Amino acid sequence: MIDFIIGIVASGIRMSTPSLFAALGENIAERSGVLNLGVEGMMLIGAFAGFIGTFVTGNVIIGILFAVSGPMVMAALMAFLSVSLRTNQLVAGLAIWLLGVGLAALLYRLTFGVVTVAPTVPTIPPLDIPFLSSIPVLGPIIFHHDAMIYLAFLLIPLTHIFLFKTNIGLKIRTVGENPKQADTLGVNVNRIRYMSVIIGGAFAGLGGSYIALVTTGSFSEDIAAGQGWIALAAVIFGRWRPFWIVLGAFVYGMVNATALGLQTKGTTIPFQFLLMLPYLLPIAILAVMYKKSVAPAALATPYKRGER
Amino acid sequence: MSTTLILGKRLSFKHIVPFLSGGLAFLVGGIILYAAGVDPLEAYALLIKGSLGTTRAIADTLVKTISLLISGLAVAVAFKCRLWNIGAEGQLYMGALGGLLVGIAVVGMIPVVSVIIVLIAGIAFGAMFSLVPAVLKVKLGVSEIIVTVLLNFVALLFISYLLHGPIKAPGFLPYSPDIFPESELPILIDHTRLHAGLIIAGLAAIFVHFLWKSKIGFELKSVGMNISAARYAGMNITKSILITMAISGGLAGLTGAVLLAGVQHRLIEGISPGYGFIAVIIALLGRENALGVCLVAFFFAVLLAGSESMYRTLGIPVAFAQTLQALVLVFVLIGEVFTRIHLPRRIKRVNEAKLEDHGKQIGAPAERGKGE
Repeated sequence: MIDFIIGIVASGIRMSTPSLFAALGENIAERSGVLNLGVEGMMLIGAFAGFIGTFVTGNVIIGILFAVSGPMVMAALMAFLSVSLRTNQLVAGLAIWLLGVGLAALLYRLTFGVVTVAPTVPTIPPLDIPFLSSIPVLGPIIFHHDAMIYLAFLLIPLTHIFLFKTNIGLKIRTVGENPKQADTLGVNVNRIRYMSVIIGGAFAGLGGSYIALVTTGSFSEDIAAGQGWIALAAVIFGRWRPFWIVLGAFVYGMVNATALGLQTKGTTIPFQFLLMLPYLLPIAILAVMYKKSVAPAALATPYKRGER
Repeated sequence: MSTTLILGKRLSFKHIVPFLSGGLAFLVGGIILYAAGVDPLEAYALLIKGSLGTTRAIADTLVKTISLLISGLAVAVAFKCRLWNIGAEGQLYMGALGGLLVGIAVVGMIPVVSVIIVLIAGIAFGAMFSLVPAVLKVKLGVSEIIVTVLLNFVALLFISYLLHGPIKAPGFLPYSPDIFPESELPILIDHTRLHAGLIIAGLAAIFVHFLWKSKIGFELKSVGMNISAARYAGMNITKSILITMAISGGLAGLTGAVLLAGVQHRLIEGISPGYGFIAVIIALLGRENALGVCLVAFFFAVLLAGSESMYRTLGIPVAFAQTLQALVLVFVLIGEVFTRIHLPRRIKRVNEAKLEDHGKQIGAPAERGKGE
């Protein structure tokens, strides 16, 4: 039984990783005042780019570089629309989402055609941390994962330090709360927003590539399965603070892992209802949390010099 | 004199920009095709031929227009009132379910009545499902965007459960039983698949057109555009949001019921190939009004039907249509800015040049403001 629970928690961590990456990045973009609803699309592009990069070169590091750059281009387009052209951010984000969904599917099909057996790449293997992985319970839960999870673990405090302890982080937050004031202080509002949105894109790419390169080892059109939207929910749940966002993503991963665990154990509950839980739970959490969370004041508002 | 000329210019430019943007999207699409080793001109010719080349092709395009139009209207109604309902796909499936439950139960009525009951059931199911995010919004202030998106997955899983269990017809595949023939929408033109859903879609468009002209429609819009002003004017915000969502979800549900009664005649897992998502683009491009949505829905149906023949002949993936649709949206968004920001500047320049000419003619100093 204890092994079963350890297994569930470990797999919960793995399942929360894609949305964790994406949420940490989206948080940076939102902190600068840009709500990017296109996370799901960027994750799909990341998943495809990571897959094709690894498939062609056989090198997973190059694959991940691909996965990071593709969504960065998408994010740059998002920034161009929402920051430079001041398009309604919700509309621009929806456009990025749908473009990502279409483009990832199109490029995959153009590359591989209609295949009966999906092409695969070897998944990134788990990497035990010496000594730590042999700690009972904690070892297999935290220190028996692949390198990308350790990167995610690392990025949690790093994004916190980046946002709250560095000069640039302060600029990002000021731009998100009061762009006019930031502008008066000599901060280039547009440049900060561009940068934050593009960093968000890179993170979404990491999340997408995790699905393709660790979870499945292959690509399909519906591979993201709403995890980009879960990431958006996790940011709200975490009230725009990295450590709380982790909790949001982790709860999602745990529910998912428990549902799948119950399924393999054999239960009378139809599996569709179990699969619904990861989508219903964020809704329930949002319902409880929403009023308490305070978004960055300038979130989803374009900034134009000289306007009130 | 110059004013009329400038107004004329602005109007014409504003109307040309969306077409230029669409053209650019096709250009980018063509480049993608070229890079994939396909002749873009041949592909685009097939797209037109496959969607408009024969009577049957036109009929198939119109069948797709029906679904895209009604679902596009569904999303447009919500967007117009600034309610971001991205859940049309799930509401569509629930509507199809509602239609099915009636269609396999009601027997022995005159066909018209039977069809109408099926469609009403679809509307009711779609509306009820859309009330979940609406109630969460008005009671707890939860943003409807994420909730509506996530509920799509819930609806599809629920339908999948039903089709694998309670409402599964005998056999291997997860299909529901067929609805009774009197609940089917009749075929309009023999030897084609064009069904009477076209009339329903037209009625839906007329409904939305007149909704925005009515008092209640005005209230719904006002609440969306400026909630504090609407509250100050004594409008009931909660009621407006619930009504808007119910209309939006009802139309999405109607899409599902029409697909069921007009095309599939039974519920399957893939009854909609993502119409509810394409509807988001249609609503935005159609500027949330009925006529705009009609035009874009037909245009997108041409893309969808054409892309199927591109797939059959040249092996171009159907996702090409989806990408093209999103590209059109991106380019139109970029284009809109040119009409909004750059065009007035251009008009100003034209205006100044005009005044200058005029000034020269009457001998007035014209150099002022030139260097600005």
